Amino acid sequence: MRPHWLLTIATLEAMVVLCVLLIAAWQFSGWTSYGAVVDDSTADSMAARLPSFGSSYLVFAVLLAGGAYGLFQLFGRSSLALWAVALLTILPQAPGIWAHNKLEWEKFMGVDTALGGGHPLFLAGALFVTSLLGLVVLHRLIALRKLGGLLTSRRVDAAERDSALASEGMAVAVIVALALVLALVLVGAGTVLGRSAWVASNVPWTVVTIGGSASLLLIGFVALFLRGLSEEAGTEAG
Amino acid sequence: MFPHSFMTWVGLSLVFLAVGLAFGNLVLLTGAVFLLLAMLIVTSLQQPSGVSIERRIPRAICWAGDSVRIERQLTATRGIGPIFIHDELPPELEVEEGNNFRIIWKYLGTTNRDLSYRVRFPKRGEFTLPASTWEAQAPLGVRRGQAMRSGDSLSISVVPRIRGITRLNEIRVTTKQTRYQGDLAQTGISNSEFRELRPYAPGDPIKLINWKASSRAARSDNLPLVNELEPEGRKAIWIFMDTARYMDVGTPLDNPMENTVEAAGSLAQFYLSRGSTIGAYAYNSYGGGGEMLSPDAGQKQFRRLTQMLAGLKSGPPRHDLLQAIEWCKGFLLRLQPEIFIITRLDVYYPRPGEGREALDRLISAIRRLSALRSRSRRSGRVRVVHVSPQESNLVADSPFRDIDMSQWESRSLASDLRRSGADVIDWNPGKEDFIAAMVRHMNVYR
Repeated sequence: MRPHWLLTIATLEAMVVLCVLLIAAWQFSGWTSYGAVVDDSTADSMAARLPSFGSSYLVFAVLLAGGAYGLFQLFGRSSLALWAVALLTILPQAPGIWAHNKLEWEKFMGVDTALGGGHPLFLAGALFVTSLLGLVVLHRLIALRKLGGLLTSRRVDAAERDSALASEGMAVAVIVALALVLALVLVGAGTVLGRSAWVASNVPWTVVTIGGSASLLLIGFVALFLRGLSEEAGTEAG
Repeated sequence: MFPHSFMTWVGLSLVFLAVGLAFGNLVLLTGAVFLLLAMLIVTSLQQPSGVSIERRIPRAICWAGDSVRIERQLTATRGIGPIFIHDELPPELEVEEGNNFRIIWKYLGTTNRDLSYRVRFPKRGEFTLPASTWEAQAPLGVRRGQAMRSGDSLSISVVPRIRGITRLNEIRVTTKQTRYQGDLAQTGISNSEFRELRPYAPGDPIKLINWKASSRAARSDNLPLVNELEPEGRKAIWIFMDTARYMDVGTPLDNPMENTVEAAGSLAQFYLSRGSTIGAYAYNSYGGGGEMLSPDAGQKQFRRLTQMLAGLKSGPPRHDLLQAIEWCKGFLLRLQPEIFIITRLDVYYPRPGEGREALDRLISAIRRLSALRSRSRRSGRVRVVHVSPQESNLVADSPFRDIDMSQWESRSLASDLRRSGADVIDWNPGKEDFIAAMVRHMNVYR
């Protein structure tokens, strides 16, 4: 008989995988149902080339992907399974998200074709963030399952093991919820500011663009710096 | 410092951020902000630190088979997240209660936890318990600290448990004249070593009365307590222990080596309790040499012997009994003791294609010891205790699974040794304890 904690985590894992895959499928289906291509001259031909995804096919694809995830897990390839699900979650959403680009770089190059349709902006954003949230939670559920296995193999007292798993799960829930709330606040504030005519006319967009790029570079630098520290620590430990 | 998966998440969020900024995509930017915020919150949480683990064991010496509680107290002052605590234990030890591997989830504030556990020491020896190892993680597995050690290592000496000698005493009472009776000196010149307190009896010297102890323990018969001192031994006993690797066959807890230790301990307890002087020599011990216990009497000698027995390890069979006698010649000539040799006789049996050299040297050694004894006023035969390896320990190696060849070989050799002047005590530890073998031997020879 499988232990209670393992059954709980496995059930949660399966639910999260199905949820994120269903979200991805919905985003994908939303994009196709809205016609996808805006340019009139190529719309018919592009639409003809795109496969027609009915809901039954999508459900089948989701189940197939979920089954593949389960198989990977069975063979002990947890990391591969996670990133495969991440890919299968993010890629199908790409066209729907792409449709919400504000800057149409292709027009600078004389291409008059752009993707359109998809869910409304806020719904698409909510679905995308929810799927990312699901992926983060899935990542931690896999880690929790491994931790539980380790503790069981070391014959840690069942109450202590369950308490540690519950505490870790609680920490995940709190951190994710906090990040979600803060992100919503930030995005909400940004949206409100963006809709303000005064702000639109008075914001120095050159400064914002360069500042944004600088922040991006700074974040990249910090990430690289931390990674360097991590490798250094690993070398010292070795 | 940071796990690979964490850096992958950071990289993914940076990609979303870059693409979102480049194309003015609010969906991607929202996703990037969410991920970056989550990563920021996680990295801002510090893993537990300021961890100290204090350990203590109530005693430094215990008997084999005893359980000892290892008291372990964890204190963590800073940070939040799980702490893994592990005490590496020698493989012979068994955890009876609690666990040497623990996980404690530390919340904000100082955490104090009692992580004590109880271990059983089934085997004699000197054991060292290394310092506790701990490792702390930040929540969500981010920022894993290196494994650290805390506290000092603990040492404990596990001495062999010696079986009781009650049954042998009973036999002595019912036997009118045994060769052991002469060895069992009840009286003799007292030395200065304290043995026990007992009630005063008529004839006791006044100077032996322990006034302080008498005043503390008021008795109903109003008799004072006197110090009982160890009598000087009338007899000297010498034990040769063969500790070569061929003695160390079988399970770690049950093999001829452990049985040898038990037999030596039982003999020592028996004779020391009767005031005899005991010396011992273990040949072929770990490192290729031998270990000697200089002859002495009393409880101190018993403690010295048990410490020696606790540390005995088997070694390569480089020496034999003849060489061991050479090493101990000085003591043997001076004391002219009763001799006990504890070994496995079947290993001396000449196999096809092998010479009789080992057997001949054993017989020469017995003859030499017998000659030494015959010069003694108290003559007696050399006693060879054959520790029979248990059948289950030999099955894997033996092509004759249904026949215990070692029994047959040892019996064949026993007659040779008896002709050379030795008594052979055949002891099968799987079927009887050592005291029973001794009792059987006394019944045969009385």
